[in-house]
Amino acid sequence: MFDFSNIQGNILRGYGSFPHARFLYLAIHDERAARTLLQQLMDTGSVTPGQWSEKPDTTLNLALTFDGLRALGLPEESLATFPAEFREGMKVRADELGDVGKSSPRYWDEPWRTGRVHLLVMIYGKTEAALEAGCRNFRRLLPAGLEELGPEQSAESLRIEGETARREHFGFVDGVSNPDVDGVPREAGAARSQDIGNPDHSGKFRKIPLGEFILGYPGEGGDLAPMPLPNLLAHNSTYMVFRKLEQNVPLFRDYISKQAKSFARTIPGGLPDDKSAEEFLAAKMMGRWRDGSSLINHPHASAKDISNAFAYADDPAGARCPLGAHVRRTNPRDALGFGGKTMSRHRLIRRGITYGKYLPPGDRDEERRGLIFIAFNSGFDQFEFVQQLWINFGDEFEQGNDGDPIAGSREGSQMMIPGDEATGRRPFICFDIPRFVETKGGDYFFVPSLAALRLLASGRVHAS
Amino acid sequence: MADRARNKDGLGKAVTFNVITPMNRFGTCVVRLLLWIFDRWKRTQNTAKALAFLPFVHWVVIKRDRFPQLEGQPAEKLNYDYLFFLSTFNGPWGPYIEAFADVLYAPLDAVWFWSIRYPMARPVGPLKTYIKRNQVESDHSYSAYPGASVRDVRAGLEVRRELEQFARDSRDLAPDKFATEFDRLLMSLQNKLGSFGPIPK
Repeated sequence: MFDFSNIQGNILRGYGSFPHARFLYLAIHDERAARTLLQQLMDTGSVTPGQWSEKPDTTLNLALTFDGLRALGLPEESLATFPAEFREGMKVRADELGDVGKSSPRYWDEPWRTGRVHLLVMIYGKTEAALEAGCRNFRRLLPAGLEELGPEQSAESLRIEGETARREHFGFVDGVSNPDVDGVPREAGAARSQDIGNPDHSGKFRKIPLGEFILGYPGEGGDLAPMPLPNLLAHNSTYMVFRKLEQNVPLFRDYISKQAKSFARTIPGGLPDDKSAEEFLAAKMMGRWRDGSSLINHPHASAKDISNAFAYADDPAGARCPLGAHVRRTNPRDALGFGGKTMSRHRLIRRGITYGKYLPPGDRDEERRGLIFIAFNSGFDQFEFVQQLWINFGDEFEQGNDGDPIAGSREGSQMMIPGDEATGRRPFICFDIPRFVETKGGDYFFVPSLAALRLLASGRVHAS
Repeated sequence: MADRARNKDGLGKAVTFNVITPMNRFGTCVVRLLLWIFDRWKRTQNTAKALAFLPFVHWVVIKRDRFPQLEGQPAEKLNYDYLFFLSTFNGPWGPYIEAFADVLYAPLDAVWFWSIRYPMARPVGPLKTYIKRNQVESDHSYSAYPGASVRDVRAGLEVRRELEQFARDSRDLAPDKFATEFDRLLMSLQNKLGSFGPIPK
């Protein structure tokens, strides 16, 4: 069994009950100062593990880029054992990730555009005041030799009409289908209890091996993901994808509104009065209704049901959930056949949090808003596969070159919304889909275990 | 660069893949029998065809004394026969090997078992190492349709077949009947109409 207290928090269990977050970006100019900071954080128990006896008011977690590990003095023989994607970093891999056009690194926000962050400090708070105090406490420890690269990134769970909502800016309930990981007990609460694993031969779902997300454990197929050396550094550590994804809400709403008029004409007799074509079309593009209910279980109307107990094999033509819909592409379950075997190695744990204010329907403003996308995997090939082949490319979903309608990288893509013989609804093609989500920065990070952080703080890392 | 199909339009969707492994004489006999069975009973190829990211898969055995020589070149003295695995696939290398190992491990193991030091298909880590050690990059590869994947080609053929049939059957239809039949055609082809072209960035 694994030790939760040696794995950093927010990985296997999310920080859903910490709605306020801040991300601080540091450059390491002096490796001894950085090690001293790490040592202090470890000595004071400031780094939050995956479990606690008493829930803290704030959490603090650390992640390092490849340049950060080097700046911390990790020897070259150890650095050479990290995966190539990590060594290169997200900026270098922009083309592979579809970060092109206005999403390309030259348009990214600071500090991503000009520098490379070494150390990412992630602080979450139960309240805004607690978060402020947590940030203040951390900055008090910051020695000369480490430079904070501005601006800091604030984020918080979306507040709609004064209430905290688990939604992203396009209005959809977010984070409802994280993987169910073998050996990780489910937390109390509806959200976590909805998790689901990978499909098996019998059409049921099984939990996903820990090794898909944490280094040092067997993954799908029974083998270990490639691990950096030494083992103490790798074991219970993981890799994190951090992306600032800006959502163009007015553009999304305008597009849906415009297309919905034509879409409504494909429905025999038109839509009933209590349903809007906009909601139906947006759900078809996402693959779930805005309240999280799946189109597979609720093809005609939302039902406030975020159950994850559904599969796609009995909807092969996409009459209920289009083959190219966002959630069907990012977690195809059994849609690709072979008992889910060809998708099972491409799962990610997602811990997103929104930034920017909620935009009420009908309003327009110039404020920037979006999602801080955080994903954990035991190798960046997992994330890059999903991004390249499932989000930006549609071949596996019979979509040719057409990308994800919500998060895809291509300007002017298209999406087929299949018709439904049962109701007589005709097929409808969404043409000229703009890019609704643009990348504004990010990088690949190593998230050390607590033991690995102590090792890094000691400065006595040897690859053997 | 040589691991991708390319022509005047640049790199194609298909990646070439060549693995050459040595076998002893007994293994050669078994593998030849197995390949004959795969060739004779086409149903044994169904899973590979269903994977749909494989434009081409071919195994060929070359006996140790059958390697061609250029004029004047002396024949090699080889200790083994060789099994050539030649393939093209759509997508990245790692997931291709993983899908192969997860879905086609039985025929892979049956044929490659006879190759020297074959580690078996599962777990996939040692197989990847074995393949890397025995893989040979293509110096050149030609693709007539670099922007086409297997699914693109299958979809295109089906669209053409259905459209030709529709053109024949709809010549004398009244407008309202034509509209009904057109809707039916669109419904049957609705998931075959994705954009076509080079791999998008």
